[in-house]
Amino acid sequence: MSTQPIVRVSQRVPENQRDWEEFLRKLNTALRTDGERAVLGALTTIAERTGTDLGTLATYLSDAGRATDQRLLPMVNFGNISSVQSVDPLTASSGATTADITVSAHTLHTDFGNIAYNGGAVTGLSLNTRYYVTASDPNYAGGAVTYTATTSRPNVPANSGLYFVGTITTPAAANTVNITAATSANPPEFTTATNHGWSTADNALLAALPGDFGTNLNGTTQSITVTAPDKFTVPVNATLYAAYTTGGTATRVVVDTTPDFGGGAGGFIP
Amino acid sequence: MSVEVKLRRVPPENEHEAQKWYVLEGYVDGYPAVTKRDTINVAALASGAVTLADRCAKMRADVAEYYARFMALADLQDPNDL
Repeated sequence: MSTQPIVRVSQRVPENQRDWEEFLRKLNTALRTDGERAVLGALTTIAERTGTDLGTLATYLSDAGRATDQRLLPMVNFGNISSVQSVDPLTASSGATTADITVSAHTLHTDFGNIAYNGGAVTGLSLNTRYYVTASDPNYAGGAVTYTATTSRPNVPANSGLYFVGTITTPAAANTVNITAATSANPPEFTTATNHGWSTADNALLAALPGDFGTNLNGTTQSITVTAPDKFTVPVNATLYAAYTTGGTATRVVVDTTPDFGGGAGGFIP
Repeated sequence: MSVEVKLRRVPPENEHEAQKWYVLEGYVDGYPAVTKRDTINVAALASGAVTLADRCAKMRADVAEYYARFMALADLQDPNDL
């Protein structure tokens, strides 16, 4: 639909009653007044558009300019999904003193297309700390972006050009201790050669254990309960295991390699 | 097949960011899909917990691996051959 201006710059001034009536009729089609202010007429539309008229659209907005309800949102947003990532891109690992976050290459799927992001990393971070990973990409360009990590949750929405990749907690320092004793009990209690320094609910990878302990537990990761600085139990029933002899190790492993939340859905930031 | 992985420092967006992060980029000319960035905590570099030489070596290895995978994909003729 093409539109025409109500008054053309080159238009001559109405000269008679008929010209004025015609001019005012056109003007009243678009604008009315409540006595003090101009009010958009029911048939007023945005140029080149034939859908919702401006008057109706204006009723969807509050006096503060905010949307009065969710009908102004695209359906995908209304459904609480703004975008989804092709994979959970975050993993974390720790050395003795620092931790690294690795961001795998991934695609962000949106309602306007797909954005491919190259892999990257944020390194030299603190151990056992939750990080919020973002990248600056105000033009939705994707590619090789600079990922950064912050411990401050308010930083995530602080800049509208930020892509929120997700959150992840870096593991505690990796360390391995030797096992010197174990009980055939429910649950079995392991004794370590040195104080392990771990906490209840940490995860320990068991290896090189002897006999029934090895058959059932080697290669498994167990959530431990600390019973003493050099002892812990694991949640299995070992009452039928043959008595422990010698050997074995326990290694505290990554506490959380799964991102707590990706940038794919909704607006909730954990 | 060896590939020349190039490294450069990505200029920080501002002085505040420069105080926090050293952004290292590894790339291969003509293959933007294998470009990778490592955002290194400057405090960790200053403390010696992380060394730039180590990160550069890892970056070269990572990008070379990306490049090898990328080239392997490019050589695929037909998914039915997989």
